[in-house]
Amino acid sequence: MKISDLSEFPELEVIVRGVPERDVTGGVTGDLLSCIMAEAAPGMVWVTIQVHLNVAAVAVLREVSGIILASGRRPNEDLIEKCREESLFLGVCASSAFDVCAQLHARGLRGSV
Amino acid sequence: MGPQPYVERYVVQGGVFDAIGEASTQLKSVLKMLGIPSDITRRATVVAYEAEMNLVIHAGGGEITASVFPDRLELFVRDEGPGIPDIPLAMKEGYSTATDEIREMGFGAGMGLPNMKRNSDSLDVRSEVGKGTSLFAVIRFPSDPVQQPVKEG
Repeated sequence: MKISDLSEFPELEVIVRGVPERDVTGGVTGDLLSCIMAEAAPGMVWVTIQVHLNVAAVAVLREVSGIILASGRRPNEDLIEKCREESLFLGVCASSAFDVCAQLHARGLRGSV
Repeated sequence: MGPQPYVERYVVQGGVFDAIGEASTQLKSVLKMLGIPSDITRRATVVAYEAEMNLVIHAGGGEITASVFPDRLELFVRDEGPGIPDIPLAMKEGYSTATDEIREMGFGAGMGLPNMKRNSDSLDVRSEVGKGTSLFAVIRFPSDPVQQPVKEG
């Protein structure tokens, strides 16, 4: 799966396109930043309900390929800005984190790379 | 022992949540530039990020010094914060003294020190209540030489 494939998801609103041709290697979900620091592998897409700037810092440090904000949570302006700066995909989905992950899983993504 | 290390020092301000990750991100860039293997860089980044979080959230700021030797990376983190009364307790996963507000942001998961330990080859934490905490982490490089071609970025 590529980042560009994420924009085809129903209900997913793309906020920052990131690098469309970048590979998505798997998925990780969680709202505790330390858990994501521990679990995320490079290229994974991260599903979370955290919407503040530090999400981008963790995403960049762990080299995730994109961020999906679940339950319709809107990103803070500074998070959008940082994602643009880092060419990091950022999307918002009305579905819950559970449902977003289920959709990603159905399309072949797994929690380990 | 051996040659002088390459040293980077970062001052981290207390209470500035938006800045958490800045020092770690800079360190990551430096390690990449030096051609340090990516798995080592990732481990170092976790240790530095968790340290940074602690400095901002708990310690009222402090500093991180990274020393790159041919065979290892050393991270020395020092603060003059309130200190950790019970280090073994703080090393337990899930134990946290962070406020609810901080936890709601996803910080204070009680995984900071455990994450640091997991990603270091050795970790030494010393603390004195009312005086501060110092933390010394060592990450060893694989036995093959570290001098590799500089990767892009």
